[in-house]
Amino acid sequence: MRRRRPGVFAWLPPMVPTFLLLGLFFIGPILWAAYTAFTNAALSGPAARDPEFVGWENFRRALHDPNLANAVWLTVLFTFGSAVIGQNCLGMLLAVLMQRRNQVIRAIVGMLVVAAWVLPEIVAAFALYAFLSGDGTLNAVLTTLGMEGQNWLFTAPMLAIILGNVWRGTAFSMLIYQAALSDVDVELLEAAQVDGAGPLRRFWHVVLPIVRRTVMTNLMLITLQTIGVFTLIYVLTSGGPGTASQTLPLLMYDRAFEFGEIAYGTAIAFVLLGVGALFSAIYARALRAEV
Amino acid sequence: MTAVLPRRRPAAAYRRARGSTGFLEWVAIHSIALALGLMFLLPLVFVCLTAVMSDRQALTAELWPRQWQWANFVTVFEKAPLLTYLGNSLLYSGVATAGMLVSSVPAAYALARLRWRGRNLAFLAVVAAMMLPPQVVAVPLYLLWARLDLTGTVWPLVIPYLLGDFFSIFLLRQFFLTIPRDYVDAARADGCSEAGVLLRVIVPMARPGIAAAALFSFLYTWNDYFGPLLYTAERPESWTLSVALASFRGMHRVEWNLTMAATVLVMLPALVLFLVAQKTFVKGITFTGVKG
Repeated sequence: MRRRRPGVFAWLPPMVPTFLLLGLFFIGPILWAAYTAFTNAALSGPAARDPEFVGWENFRRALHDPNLANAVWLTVLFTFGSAVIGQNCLGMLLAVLMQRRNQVIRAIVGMLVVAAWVLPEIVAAFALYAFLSGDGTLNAVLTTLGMEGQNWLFTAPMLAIILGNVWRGTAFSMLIYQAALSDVDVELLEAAQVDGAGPLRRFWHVVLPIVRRTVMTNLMLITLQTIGVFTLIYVLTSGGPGTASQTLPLLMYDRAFEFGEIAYGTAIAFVLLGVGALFSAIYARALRAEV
Repeated sequence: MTAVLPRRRPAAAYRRARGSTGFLEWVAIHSIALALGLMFLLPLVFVCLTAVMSDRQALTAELWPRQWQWANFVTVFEKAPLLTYLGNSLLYSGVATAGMLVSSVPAAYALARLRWRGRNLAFLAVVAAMMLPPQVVAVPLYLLWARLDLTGTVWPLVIPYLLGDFFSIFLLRQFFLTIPRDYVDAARADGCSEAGVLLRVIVPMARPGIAAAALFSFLYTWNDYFGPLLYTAERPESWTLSVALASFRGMHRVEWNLTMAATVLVMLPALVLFLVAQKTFVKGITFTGVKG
Protein backbone atom coordinates (compact mmCIF):
# COMPACT_ATOMS: atom_id res chain seq x y z
CA MET A 1 0.00 0.00 0.00
CA ARG A 2 1.30 3.41 -0.91
CA ARG A 3 1.41 5.92 1.85
CA ARG A 4 -0.46 9.05 0.89
CA ARG A 5 1.20 12.35 1.61
CA PRO A 6 -0.73 15.57 1.90
CA GLY A 7 -0.65 17.53 -1.35
CA VAL A 8 1.72 20.47 -1.59
CA PHE A 9 -1.17 22.90 -1.54
CA ALA A 10 -3.39 20.99 0.88
CA TRP A 11 -2.96 23.84 3.36
CA LEU A 12 -4.32 26.50 1.06
CA PRO A 13 -8.09 25.85 0.91
CA PRO A 14 -8.58 25.70 4.69
CA MET A 15 -6.52 28.85 5.13
CA VAL A 16 -8.34 30.99 2.57
CA PRO A 17 -11.02 32.24 5.02
CA THR A 18 -8.35 33.02 7.59
CA PHE A 19 -6.32 35.01 5.10
CA LEU A 20 -9.43 36.92 4.12
CA LEU A 21 -10.17 37.49 7.79
CA LEU A 22 -6.63 38.73 8.43
CA GLY A 23 -6.71 40.99 5.40
CA LEU A 24 -10.17 42.44 5.84
CA PHE A 25 -10.42 42.65 9.61
CA PHE A 26 -6.84 43.02 10.82
CA ILE A 27 -4.18 44.19 8.40
CA GLY A 28 -6.43 46.26 6.14
CA PRO A 29 -8.11 48.21 8.94
CA ILE A 30 -4.80 48.77 10.72
CA LEU A 31 -3.19 50.22 7.60
CA TRP A 32 -6.29 52.30 6.97
CA ALA A 33 -6.29 53.48 10.59
CA ALA A 34 -2.58 54.29 10.44
CA TYR A 35 -3.22 56.48 7.41
CA THR A 36 -6.41 58.05 8.76
CA ALA A 37 -4.70 59.11 11.97
CA PHE A 38 -2.72 61.55 9.78
CA THR A 39 -5.77 63.07 8.11
CA ASN A 40 -8.69 65.19 9.27
CA ALA A 41 -11.31 62.55 8.40
CA ALA A 42 -14.70 63.05 10.01
CA LEU A 43 -17.98 61.13 10.17
CA SER A 44 -19.90 63.95 8.51
CA GLY A 45 -19.34 67.40 7.02
CA PRO A 46 -16.89 68.40 4.29
CA ALA A 47 -14.01 66.48 5.88
CA ALA A 48 -16.04 63.28 5.54
CA ARG A 49 -16.19 63.51 1.77
CA ASP A 50 -12.70 64.71 1.14
CA PRO A 51 -10.32 64.22 4.07
CA GLU A 52 -7.00 66.03 3.87
CA PHE A 53 -3.59 64.86 4.95
CA VAL A 54 -2.59 66.84 8.03
CA GLY A 55 0.64 65.15 9.11
CA TRP A 56 1.25 64.83 12.82
CA GLU A 57 -1.53 67.28 13.63
CA ASN A 58 -3.74 64.73 15.46
CA PHE A 59 -0.86 63.50 17.57
CA ARG A 60 0.28 67.05 18.27
CA ARG A 61 -3.24 67.81 19.39
CA ALA A 62 -3.27 64.64 21.51
CA LEU A 63 -0.08 65.73 23.24
CA HIS A 64 -1.73 68.94 24.42
CA ASP A 65 -5.16 67.47 25.10
CA PRO A 66 -5.78 67.43 28.86
CA ASN A 67 -8.55 64.88 28.31
CA LEU A 68 -6.12 62.48 26.71
CA ALA A 69 -3.52 62.83 29.45
CA ASN A 70 -6.33 62.23 31.92
CA ALA A 71 -7.52 59.17 29.99
CA VAL A 72 -4.02 57.68 29.79
CA TRP A 73 -3.58 58.11 33.52
CA LEU A 74 -7.01 56.60 34.29
CA THR A 75 -6.35 53.69 31.94
CA VAL A 76 -3.06 52.95 33.68
CA LEU A 77 -4.72 53.30 37.08
CA PHE A 78 -7.63 51.08 36.04
CA THR A 79 -5.33 48.45 34.58
CA PHE A 80 -2.95 48.48 37.50
CA GLY A 81 -5.69 48.48 40.12
CA SER A 82 -8.06 45.96 38.62
CA ALA A 83 -5.76 43.65 36.63
CA VAL A 84 -2.25 43.73 38.08
CA ILE A 85 -3.32 44.09 41.72
CA GLY A 86 -6.94 42.95 41.81
CA GLN A 87 -7.42 40.06 39.41
CA ASN A 88 -3.85 38.85 39.51
CA CYS A 89 -3.34 38.82 43.29
CA LEU A 90 -6.84 37.68 44.17
CA GLY A 91 -6.66 35.00 41.50
CA MET A 92 -3.35 33.77 42.89
CA LEU A 93 -4.67 33.88 46.46
CA LEU A 94 -7.70 31.81 45.50
CA ALA A 95 -5.58 29.34 43.58
CA VAL A 96 -3.14 28.91 46.47
CA LEU A 97 -5.92 28.59 49.04
CA MET A 98 -7.62 25.94 47.00
CA GLN A 99 -4.51 24.00 46.14
CA ARG A 100 -4.85 20.38 47.27
CA ARG A 101 -7.92 21.19 49.36
CA ASN A 102 -11.21 19.51 49.88
CA GLN A 103 -12.66 18.65 46.49
CA VAL A 104 -16.18 19.85 47.29
CA ILE A 105 -15.13 23.26 48.60
CA ARG A 106 -12.75 23.66 45.70
CA ALA A 107 -15.53 22.96 43.25
CA ILE A 108 -17.95 25.35 44.93
CA VAL A 109 -15.51 28.24 45.20
CA GLY A 110 -14.33 27.69 41.65
CA MET A 111 -17.87 27.69 40.35
CA LEU A 112 -18.81 30.89 42.18
CA VAL A 113 -15.81 32.78 40.87
CA VAL A 114 -16.10 31.53 37.31
CA ALA A 115 -19.85 32.17 37.18
CA ALA A 116 -19.16 35.88 37.64
CA TRP A 117 -16.96 35.71 34.60
CA VAL A 118 -19.39 34.12 32.15
CA LEU A 119 -22.04 36.71 32.87
CA PRO A 120 -22.44 39.70 30.58
CA GLU A 121 -20.36 42.70 31.66
CA ILE A 122 -23.59 44.61 31.61
CA VAL A 123 -24.90 42.51 34.49
CA ALA A 124 -21.89 43.42 36.61
CA ALA A 125 -22.39 47.05 35.64
CA PHE A 126 -26.10 46.99 36.53
CA ALA A 127 -25.57 45.23 39.83
CA LEU A 128 -22.94 47.77 40.88
CA TYR A 129 -24.98 50.67 39.58
CA ALA A 130 -28.10 49.68 41.49
CA PHE A 131 -26.03 49.12 44.59
CA LEU A 132 -23.81 52.22 44.52
CA SER A 133 -25.81 54.97 42.80
CA GLY A 134 -27.25 57.97 44.68
CA ASP A 135 -30.61 56.35 45.41
CA GLY A 136 -29.10 52.89 45.40
CA THR A 137 -29.22 50.13 47.96
CA LEU A 138 -25.98 50.98 49.78
CA ASN A 139 -27.23 54.46 50.62
CA ALA A 140 -30.61 53.14 51.69
CA VAL A 141 -28.86 50.78 54.07
CA LEU A 142 -26.57 53.55 55.34
CA THR A 143 -29.55 55.80 55.97
CA THR A 144 -31.33 53.21 58.09
CA LEU A 145 -28.12 52.85 60.07
CA GLY A 146 -28.25 56.61 60.64
CA MET A 147 -25.32 57.40 58.38
CA GLU A 148 -25.05 59.97 55.65
CA GLY A 149 -25.09 58.47 52.18
CA GLN A 150 -23.40 59.91 49.12
CA ASN A 151 -23.43 59.23 45.40
CA TRP A 152 -20.62 56.72 45.30
CA LEU A 153 -20.46 56.70 41.54
CA PHE A 154 -19.74 60.42 41.74
CA THR A 155 -17.30 60.40 44.60
CA ALA A 156 -15.46 57.19 43.77
CA PRO A 157 -16.13 56.24 40.14
CA MET A 158 -12.70 54.67 39.63
CA LEU A 159 -13.14 52.48 42.69
CA ALA A 160 -16.51 51.33 41.38
CA ILE A 161 -15.22 50.32 37.95
CA ILE A 162 -12.13 48.68 39.45
CA LEU A 163 -14.30 46.62 41.81
CA GLY A 164 -16.54 45.68 38.91
CA ASN A 165 -13.63 44.54 36.80
CA VAL A 166 -12.08 42.55 39.64
CA TRP A 167 -15.40 40.83 40.21
CA ARG A 168 -15.73 39.90 36.58
CA GLY A 169 -12.18 39.07 35.64
CA THR A 170 -10.56 37.25 38.57
CA ALA A 171 -11.71 33.85 37.34
CA PHE A 172 -9.31 33.84 34.40
CA SER A 173 -6.23 34.40 36.56
CA MET A 174 -7.49 31.89 39.11
CA LEU A 175 -7.94 29.15 36.52
CA ILE A 176 -4.57 29.84 34.94
CA TYR A 177 -2.82 29.79 38.32
CA GLN A 178 -4.62 26.64 39.43
CA ALA A 179 -3.30 24.89 36.37
CA ALA A 180 0.21 26.23 36.96
CA LEU A 181 0.26 25.34 40.66
CA SER A 182 -0.75 21.77 39.93
CA ASP A 183 2.60 21.49 38.14
CA VAL A 184 4.60 22.45 41.21
CA ASP A 185 6.30 19.41 42.66
CA VAL A 186 4.83 18.54 46.05
CA GLU A 187 8.13 17.04 47.23
CA LEU A 188 9.78 20.43 46.85
CA LEU A 189 7.20 22.08 49.06
CA GLU A 190 7.44 19.33 51.62
CA ALA A 191 11.22 19.60 51.67
CA ALA A 192 10.94 23.36 52.19
CA GLN A 193 8.52 22.85 55.03
CA VAL A 194 10.73 20.29 56.69
CA ASP A 195 13.51 22.86 56.46
CA GLY A 196 11.29 25.21 58.46
CA ALA A 197 9.96 27.52 55.77
CA GLY A 198 6.56 29.03 56.63
CA PRO A 199 3.75 29.32 54.10
CA LEU A 200 4.74 32.82 52.95
CA ARG A 201 8.39 31.92 52.45
CA ARG A 202 7.43 28.71 50.73
CA PHE A 203 5.25 30.67 48.33
CA TRP A 204 7.82 33.38 47.73
CA HIS A 205 10.93 31.24 47.38
CA VAL A 206 9.65 27.93 46.06
CA VAL A 207 6.32 28.37 44.27
CA LEU A 208 6.71 31.80 42.73
CA PRO A 209 10.02 31.16 40.93
CA ILE A 210 8.50 28.04 39.36
CA VAL A 211 5.35 29.70 38.09
CA ARG A 212 7.02 33.01 37.20
CA ARG A 213 6.61 32.53 33.46
CA THR A 214 2.92 31.84 33.86
CA VAL A 215 2.51 34.92 36.04
CA MET A 216 4.10 37.15 33.39
CA THR A 217 2.09 35.62 30.55
CA ASN A 218 -1.10 35.93 32.55
CA LEU A 219 -0.29 39.54 33.44
CA MET A 220 0.21 40.33 29.79
CA LEU A 221 -3.08 38.73 28.76
CA ILE A 222 -5.20 40.34 31.47
CA THR A 223 -3.52 43.71 30.90
CA LEU A 224 -4.32 43.70 27.19
CA GLN A 225 -7.82 42.59 28.08
CA THR A 226 -8.28 45.31 30.69
CA ILE A 227 -6.97 48.33 28.80
CA GLY A 228 -9.70 47.65 26.22
CA VAL A 229 -12.57 47.35 28.73
CA PHE A 230 -15.48 49.43 27.47
CA THR A 231 -18.87 48.01 28.40
CA LEU A 232 -18.43 47.92 32.15
CA ILE A 233 -17.32 51.55 32.33
CA TYR A 234 -19.73 52.82 29.71
CA VAL A 235 -22.75 51.34 31.44
CA LEU A 236 -21.62 52.05 34.98
CA THR A 237 -20.38 55.63 34.76
CA SER A 238 -20.22 56.55 31.04
CA GLY A 239 -16.77 57.84 31.87
CA GLY A 240 -18.16 60.35 34.31
CA PRO A 241 -18.79 62.32 36.32
CA GLY A 242 -17.25 64.71 33.83
CA THR A 243 -14.19 62.78 32.75
CA ALA A 244 -13.40 61.24 36.15
CA SER A 245 -13.52 57.68 34.83
CA GLN A 246 -13.02 58.27 31.11
CA THR A 247 -10.41 55.71 30.15
CA LEU A 248 -8.95 55.56 26.64
CA PRO A 249 -11.59 53.28 25.07
CA LEU A 250 -14.33 55.63 26.29
CA LEU A 251 -12.51 58.74 25.13
CA MET A 252 -11.94 57.12 21.76
CA TYR A 253 -15.63 56.14 21.43
CA ASP A 254 -16.66 59.63 22.49
CA ARG A 255 -14.44 61.42 19.97
CA ALA A 256 -14.87 59.06 17.03
CA PHE A 257 -18.53 58.14 17.27
CA GLU A 258 -20.20 60.83 19.37
CA PHE A 259 -18.31 63.80 17.93
CA GLY A 260 -17.56 62.19 14.59
CA GLU A 261 -13.87 63.10 14.75
CA ILE A 262 -12.77 59.87 13.16
CA ALA A 263 -9.17 60.81 12.58
CA TYR A 264 -8.59 62.01 16.12
CA GLY A 265 -10.42 58.98 17.52
CA THR A 266 -8.11 56.73 15.53
CA ALA A 267 -5.08 58.56 16.87
CA ILE A 268 -6.39 57.90 20.38
CA ALA A 269 -6.75 54.20 19.54
CA PHE A 270 -3.05 54.16 18.66
CA VAL A 271 -2.22 55.76 21.99
CA LEU A 272 -4.19 52.90 23.57
CA LEU A 273 -2.14 50.43 21.57
CA GLY A 274 1.00 52.21 22.81
CA VAL A 275 -0.05 51.84 26.44
CA GLY A 276 -0.60 48.13 25.87
CA ALA A 277 2.80 47.79 24.21
CA LEU A 278 4.43 49.60 27.12
CA PHE A 279 2.92 47.23 29.68
CA SER A 280 3.92 44.23 27.56
CA ALA A 281 7.48 45.51 27.27
CA ILE A 282 7.70 45.86 31.04
CA TYR A 283 6.53 42.27 31.55
CA ALA A 284 8.88 40.95 28.90
CA ARG A 285 11.77 42.76 30.61
CA ALA A 286 10.79 41.53 34.05
CA LEU A 287 10.76 38.01 32.70
CA ARG A 288 14.20 38.33 31.18
CA ALA A 289 15.80 40.23 34.05
CA GLU A 290 15.93 37.40 36.55
CA VAL A 291 16.68 34.41 34.37
CA MET B 1 29.35 6.79 56.24
CA THR B 2 26.45 8.73 54.84
CA ALA B 3 25.08 5.47 53.66
CA VAL B 4 24.34 4.49 57.22
CA LEU B 5 22.07 7.45 57.82
CA PRO B 6 18.39 6.65 57.41
CA ARG B 7 16.87 8.23 54.32
CA ARG B 8 14.90 11.33 55.04
CA ARG B 9 11.27 10.99 54.19
CA PRO B 10 10.00 14.46 53.50
CA ALA B 11 6.44 13.38 52.84
CA ALA B 12 6.07 11.75 56.24
CA ALA B 13 7.76 14.63 58.01
CA TYR B 14 5.46 17.02 56.22
CA ARG B 15 2.42 15.16 57.42
CA ARG B 16 3.78 15.03 60.95
CA ALA B 17 4.50 18.75 60.92
CA ARG B 18 0.84 19.45 60.18
CA GLY B 19 -0.07 17.43 63.28
CA SER B 20 -2.09 19.25 65.93
CA THR B 21 -2.54 22.59 64.18
CA GLY B 22 -3.69 20.69 61.11
CA PHE B 23 -7.38 20.74 61.84
CA LEU B 24 -7.58 24.42 62.74
CA GLU B 25 -5.60 25.32 59.67
CA TRP B 26 -7.92 23.20 57.56
CA VAL B 27 -10.98 24.99 58.87
CA ALA B 28 -9.41 28.44 58.57
CA ILE B 29 -8.23 28.03 55.00
CA HIS B 30 -11.47 26.50 53.80
CA SER B 31 -13.49 29.24 55.47
CA ILE B 32 -11.41 31.97 53.86
CA ALA B 33 -11.72 30.33 50.45
CA LEU B 34 -15.44 29.88 50.85
CA ALA B 35 -15.93 33.46 52.07
CA LEU B 36 -14.00 34.81 49.09
CA GLY B 37 -16.07 32.66 46.78
CA LEU B 38 -19.32 33.84 48.33
CA MET B 39 -18.29 37.45 47.80
CA PHE B 40 -18.36 36.72 44.10
CA LEU B 41 -21.93 35.52 44.48
CA LEU B 42 -23.24 38.62 46.27
CA PRO B 43 -23.90 40.86 43.25
CA LEU B 44 -25.71 37.97 41.60
CA VAL B 45 -27.92 37.36 44.62
CA PHE B 46 -28.62 41.08 44.76
CA VAL B 47 -29.73 41.13 41.12
CA CYS B 48 -31.93 38.04 41.54
CA LEU B 49 -33.61 39.28 44.71
CA THR B 50 -34.30 42.72 43.26
CA ALA B 51 -35.82 41.03 40.21
CA VAL B 52 -38.68 39.59 42.26
CA MET B 53 -39.36 42.66 44.43
CA SER B 54 -42.12 45.18 43.99
CA ASP B 55 -41.09 48.40 42.28
CA ARG B 56 -41.54 50.21 45.57
CA GLN B 57 -39.21 47.92 47.46
CA ALA B 58 -36.41 47.79 44.87
CA LEU B 59 -33.21 49.55 45.96
CA THR B 60 -34.41 50.13 49.50
CA ALA B 61 -32.68 48.98 52.66
CA GLU B 62 -34.89 45.92 52.75
CA LEU B 63 -32.76 43.43 50.90
CA TRP B 64 -35.10 40.45 51.15
CA PRO B 65 -38.27 40.59 49.00
CA ARG B 66 -41.35 41.25 51.13
CA GLN B 67 -43.49 39.45 48.60
CA TRP B 68 -42.12 37.47 45.71
CA GLN B 69 -43.39 39.07 42.53
CA TRP B 70 -42.68 36.35 40.03
CA ALA B 71 -44.97 38.18 37.63
CA ASN B 72 -42.10 40.60 36.97
CA PHE B 73 -40.65 38.09 34.55
CA VAL B 74 -43.89 38.20 32.57
CA THR B 75 -44.29 41.96 32.83
CA VAL B 76 -40.92 42.65 31.19
CA PHE B 77 -42.12 40.93 28.06
CA GLU B 78 -45.08 43.31 27.95
CA LYS B 79 -42.92 46.38 28.54
CA ALA B 80 -40.42 45.70 25.79
CA PRO B 81 -40.30 43.54 22.66
CA LEU B 82 -37.88 41.18 24.34
CA LEU B 83 -38.64 38.38 21.91
CA THR B 84 -37.39 40.48 19.01
CA TYR B 85 -34.19 41.24 20.90
CA LEU B 86 -33.86 37.61 21.88
CA GLY B 87 -34.18 36.67 18.22
CA ASN B 88 -31.45 39.12 17.27
CA SER B 89 -29.18 37.86 20.02
CA LEU B 90 -29.74 34.26 18.96
CA LEU B 91 -29.12 35.19 15.33
CA TYR B 92 -25.85 36.87 16.26
CA SER B 93 -24.61 34.18 18.66
CA GLY B 94 -25.97 31.18 16.78
CA VAL B 95 -24.87 32.05 13.26
CA ALA B 96 -21.55 33.45 14.47
CA THR B 97 -20.72 30.31 16.44
CA ALA B 98 -21.78 27.93 13.66
CA GLY B 99 -19.89 29.98 11.06
CA MET B 100 -16.84 30.12 13.29
CA LEU B 101 -16.75 26.33 13.57
CA VAL B 102 -17.03 25.75 9.83
CA SER B 103 -14.29 28.22 9.00
CA SER B 104 -11.92 27.96 11.97
CA VAL B 105 -11.64 24.20 12.44
CA PRO B 106 -10.03 23.57 9.03
CA ALA B 107 -7.77 26.59 9.45
CA ALA B 108 -6.64 25.42 12.86
CA TYR B 109 -5.88 22.01 11.34
CA ALA B 110 -3.77 23.57 8.61
CA LEU B 111 -1.90 25.55 11.25
CA ALA B 112 -1.41 22.57 13.54
CA ARG B 113 -0.84 19.52 11.36
CA LEU B 114 0.13 20.53 7.83
CA ARG B 115 3.59 21.72 6.89
CA TRP B 116 3.87 24.74 4.68
CA ARG B 117 6.01 27.79 4.20
CA GLY B 118 4.68 30.78 6.04
CA ARG B 119 2.78 28.70 8.55
CA ASN B 120 4.52 30.26 11.54
CA LEU B 121 4.04 33.72 10.13
CA ALA B 122 0.33 33.08 9.62
CA PHE B 123 0.02 31.78 13.18
CA LEU B 124 1.87 34.81 14.51
CA ALA B 125 -0.55 37.07 12.64
CA VAL B 126 -3.50 35.23 14.19
CA VAL B 127 -2.05 35.68 17.68
CA ALA B 128 -1.31 39.36 17.07
CA ALA B 129 -4.84 39.92 15.77
CA MET B 130 -6.23 38.14 18.80
CA MET B 131 -4.35 40.44 21.16
CA LEU B 132 -5.22 43.67 19.37
CA PRO B 133 -7.53 45.94 21.37
CA PRO B 134 -10.75 46.07 19.34
CA GLN B 135 -10.80 49.87 19.47
CA VAL B 136 -7.91 50.14 17.02
CA VAL B 137 -9.89 48.71 14.13
CA ALA B 138 -13.34 49.89 15.25
CA VAL B 139 -13.40 53.05 13.15
CA PRO B 140 -12.24 51.62 9.82
CA LEU B 141 -14.56 48.64 10.18
CA TYR B 142 -17.48 50.88 11.01
CA LEU B 143 -16.85 52.94 7.89
CA LEU B 144 -16.54 49.79 5.81
CA TRP B 145 -19.92 48.48 6.98
CA ALA B 146 -21.47 51.93 6.63
CA ARG B 147 -20.34 52.03 3.02
CA LEU B 148 -21.87 48.59 2.44
CA ASP B 149 -25.04 49.98 4.01
CA LEU B 150 -25.14 47.24 6.61
CA THR B 151 -25.05 49.38 9.74
CA GLY B 152 -28.28 49.11 11.67
CA THR B 153 -28.24 45.31 11.33
CA VAL B 154 -26.41 42.50 13.11
CA TRP B 155 -24.63 41.41 9.92
CA PRO B 156 -21.46 43.45 10.54
CA LEU B 157 -21.12 41.40 13.70
CA VAL B 158 -21.88 38.02 12.16
CA ILE B 159 -20.07 38.12 8.81
CA PRO B 160 -16.51 38.16 10.23
CA TYR B 161 -17.29 34.93 12.11
CA LEU B 162 -18.18 33.23 8.83
CA LEU B 163 -14.52 33.71 7.92
CA GLY B 164 -13.32 32.65 11.34
CA ASP B 165 -12.41 34.03 14.71
CA PHE B 166 -8.83 34.64 15.77
CA PHE B 167 -9.18 33.42 19.32
CA SER B 168 -11.01 30.27 18.23
CA ILE B 169 -8.40 29.47 15.61
CA PHE B 170 -5.72 29.87 18.26
CA LEU B 171 -7.54 27.73 20.82
CA LEU B 172 -8.35 24.97 18.31
CA ARG B 173 -4.81 24.89 17.00
CA GLN B 174 -3.47 24.47 20.54
CA PHE B 175 -5.89 21.61 21.04
CA PHE B 176 -5.13 19.89 17.75
CA LEU B 177 -1.43 19.92 18.61
CA THR B 178 -2.14 17.57 21.52
CA ILE B 179 -3.47 14.89 19.16
CA PRO B 180 -0.54 12.59 18.48
CA ARG B 181 0.83 12.89 14.98
CA ASP B 182 0.73 9.09 14.66
CA TYR B 183 -3.04 9.03 14.35
CA VAL B 184 -2.89 11.51 11.51
CA ASP B 185 -0.10 9.59 9.79
CA ALA B 186 -1.94 6.29 10.18
CA ALA B 187 -5.06 7.72 8.58
CA ARG B 188 -2.99 9.09 5.72
CA ALA B 189 -1.33 5.70 5.31
CA ASP B 190 -4.79 4.21 4.92
CA GLY B 191 -5.37 6.53 2.00
CA CYS B 192 -7.48 9.06 3.83
CA SER B 193 -7.67 12.48 2.21
CA GLU B 194 -6.79 15.57 4.26
CA ALA B 195 -10.47 16.40 4.59
CA GLY B 196 -11.00 12.82 5.73
CA VAL B 197 -8.21 13.07 8.30
CA LEU B 198 -9.76 16.23 9.64
CA LEU B 199 -13.33 14.92 9.78
CA ARG B 200 -12.70 11.32 10.84
CA VAL B 201 -9.64 11.64 13.06
CA ILE B 202 -9.10 15.16 14.32
CA VAL B 203 -12.67 16.32 14.87
CA PRO B 204 -13.81 13.25 16.86
CA MET B 205 -10.67 13.32 18.99
CA ALA B 206 -10.75 17.07 19.57
CA ARG B 207 -14.39 17.19 20.54
CA PRO B 208 -13.70 18.78 23.96
CA GLY B 209 -11.56 21.48 22.35
CA ILE B 210 -14.14 22.20 19.69
CA ALA B 211 -16.86 22.33 22.33
CA ALA B 212 -14.77 24.80 24.32
CA ALA B 213 -14.23 27.03 21.28
CA ALA B 214 -17.95 26.95 20.47
CA LEU B 215 -18.82 27.72 24.07
CA PHE B 216 -16.44 30.66 24.23
CA SER B 217 -17.64 32.21 21.02
CA PHE B 218 -21.29 31.76 21.98
CA LEU B 219 -20.73 33.38 25.37
CA TYR B 220 -18.60 36.15 23.92
CA THR B 221 -21.17 37.09 21.30
CA TRP B 222 -24.08 36.67 23.72
CA ASN B 223 -22.41 39.04 26.20
CA ASP B 224 -21.04 41.44 23.59
CA TYR B 225 -22.19 45.00 23.98
CA PHE B 226 -19.62 47.18 22.20
CA GLY B 227 -20.27 45.59 18.80
CA PRO B 228 -24.09 45.68 18.94
CA LEU B 229 -23.96 49.22 20.37
CA LEU B 230 -21.84 50.38 17.46
CA TYR B 231 -23.82 48.70 14.72
CA THR B 232 -27.39 48.16 15.88
CA ALA B 233 -28.05 51.08 18.24
CA GLU B 234 -29.49 53.24 15.47
CA ARG B 235 -32.32 50.78 14.72
CA PRO B 236 -34.24 49.40 17.72
CA GLU B 237 -35.56 46.46 15.65
CA SER B 238 -31.98 45.21 15.37
CA TRP B 239 -31.05 45.53 19.03
CA THR B 240 -29.58 42.55 20.79
CA LEU B 241 -30.55 41.83 24.37
CA SER B 242 -27.47 43.57 25.75
CA VAL B 243 -28.22 46.84 23.95
CA ALA B 244 -31.88 46.63 24.90
CA LEU B 245 -30.93 46.02 28.51
CA ALA B 246 -28.66 49.04 28.60
CA SER B 247 -31.42 51.18 27.14
CA PHE B 248 -33.70 50.23 30.06
CA ARG B 249 -31.67 52.44 32.33
CA GLY B 250 -31.93 55.41 30.03
CA MET B 251 -35.70 55.50 30.30
CA HIS B 252 -37.33 58.38 32.14
CA ARG B 253 -38.22 56.36 35.21
CA VAL B 254 -36.23 53.24 35.80
CA GLU B 255 -38.23 50.42 37.32
CA TRP B 256 -35.34 48.58 38.86
CA ASN B 257 -37.26 45.43 39.68
CA LEU B 258 -38.19 44.99 36.01
CA THR B 259 -34.72 45.97 34.83
CA MET B 260 -33.24 43.31 37.09
CA ALA B 261 -35.83 40.77 35.95
CA ALA B 262 -34.71 41.44 32.38
CA THR B 263 -31.10 41.18 33.52
CA VAL B 264 -31.80 37.75 35.00
CA LEU B 265 -33.38 36.64 31.73
CA VAL B 266 -30.35 37.83 29.76
CA MET B 267 -27.81 36.18 31.99
CA LEU B 268 -29.75 32.95 32.42
CA PRO B 269 -28.68 31.32 29.13
CA ALA B 270 -25.03 32.17 29.82
CA LEU B 271 -25.29 30.79 33.34
CA VAL B 272 -27.07 27.59 32.32
CA LEU B 273 -24.65 26.98 29.48
CA PHE B 274 -21.77 27.45 31.89
CA LEU B 275 -23.20 25.12 34.54
CA VAL B 276 -23.88 22.41 31.98
CA ALA B 277 -20.48 22.66 30.33
CA GLN B 278 -18.32 23.79 33.24
CA LYS B 279 -15.62 21.16 32.70
CA THR B 280 -15.26 21.99 29.03
CA PHE B 281 -15.06 25.63 29.91
CA VAL B 282 -12.34 25.33 32.52
CA LYS B 283 -10.37 22.96 30.32
CA GLY B 284 -10.56 25.43 27.45
CA ILE B 285 -9.13 28.23 29.57
CA THR B 286 -6.20 26.28 30.88
CA PHE B 287 -5.62 25.29 27.31
CA THR B 288 -5.01 28.75 25.96
CA GLY B 289 -1.35 27.82 26.09
CA VAL B 290 -0.46 29.94 29.07
CA LYS B 291 1.48 27.04 30.49
CA GLY B 292 5.11 27.26 29.52
